[in-house]
Amino acid sequence: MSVCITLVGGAGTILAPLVFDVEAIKKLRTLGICGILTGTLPSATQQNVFLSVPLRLMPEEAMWLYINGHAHFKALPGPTATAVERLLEEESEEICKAAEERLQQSFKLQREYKLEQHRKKLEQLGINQPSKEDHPDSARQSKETKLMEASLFIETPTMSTILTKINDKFGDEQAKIDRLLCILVAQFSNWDNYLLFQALKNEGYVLSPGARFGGKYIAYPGDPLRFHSHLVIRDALHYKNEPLDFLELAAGARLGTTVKKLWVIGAPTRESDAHDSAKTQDNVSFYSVEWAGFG
Amino acid sequence: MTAAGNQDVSAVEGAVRTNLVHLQGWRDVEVQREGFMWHGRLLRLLCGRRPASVAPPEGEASSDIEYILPVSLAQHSAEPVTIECLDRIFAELCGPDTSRILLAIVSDDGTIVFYFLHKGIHKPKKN
Repeated sequence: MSVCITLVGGAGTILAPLVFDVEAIKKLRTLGICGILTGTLPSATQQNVFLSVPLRLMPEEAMWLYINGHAHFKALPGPTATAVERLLEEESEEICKAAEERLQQSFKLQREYKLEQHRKKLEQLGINQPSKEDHPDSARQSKETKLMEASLFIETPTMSTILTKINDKFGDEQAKIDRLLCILVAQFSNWDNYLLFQALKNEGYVLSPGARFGGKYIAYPGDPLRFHSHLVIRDALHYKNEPLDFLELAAGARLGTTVKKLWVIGAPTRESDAHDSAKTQDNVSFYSVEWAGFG
Repeated sequence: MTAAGNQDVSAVEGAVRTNLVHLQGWRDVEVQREGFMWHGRLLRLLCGRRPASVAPPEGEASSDIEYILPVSLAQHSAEPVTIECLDRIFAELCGPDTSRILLAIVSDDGTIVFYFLHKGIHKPKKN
């Protein structure tokens, strides 16, 4: 299954790559791509662990998935608010009708399930279910029905139906997507950082944004729900032309050591990427720094 | 001997040696004679034996020799140490099995702070 990553782009700018499908998000998790859940409801705003779809990916994560054949992109010209507005103007009745139908279908299934459960329970208790025709106590029956109606759930779909309609409308011409990808890479990151990301990913690390510990990425040795992170990775250095800033090194490594992490610096070695970009993964020179414990 | 004579030891190298010997309790600390020219400066390591209080690199309890790279906090633009430079240090100035060096950063007031530089990706210590 190729995961669909949505790129919302406007005039020269682009928002983060987003994934809207829950099944796709599950698959990404098994690939060690976690992203950050960002979705919330305007009427009941939440943060952190309570957030829902869409999943926001780092540009490096999106690029890695694309390069390794796990994902394809879909362009969604922004601003989306205008697109949704126009869609609602044209098709609001249809969308409303579809939603109502879905709701009624869900109620119908729930009612059938509940009646079946009720019948089974009575059977177990040895009470014979009186058939509706010869039951005179209709008041009791309607009370039961009322109770059941009140217990039905309204299910919020995990996928936006409007979004798929917008996707259908705009299509996904390759040229447009390529242009958006260029903007994405230029706007958010640089290729050296991607090479660091790729090298760590190939070592089995799971990466997430690193601002919390003062780095570019933080790296977990497995799923972030099972492990503490081991590494704080600094922005990629230039192999020949970018000197270490020792004050920054001291700050990064001292903080890292107190939170049981190593502070990692890395630079892609230059000679590699000129000839063979597939080989570059082996050609990042990393150093892990920790406080020596004295001085 | 591979040690440099007293007279041609730079101020930074001398400060680190004094600190290690007299404050941190290291033994046999010497400035190595071999080095390479780097941005107009002779880049050399110190080597010495760490005290028992300093943990050995993981899985290398046998030898207690450490290599020390002395740098000045202020030098970072004048005498840059790049990743390329670190690669050369590990390749040319250390023993073949050296997995880490000790970075000694000397600041203007004489304070020296020490950091371990591990080659490649390492796991943090278990504690």
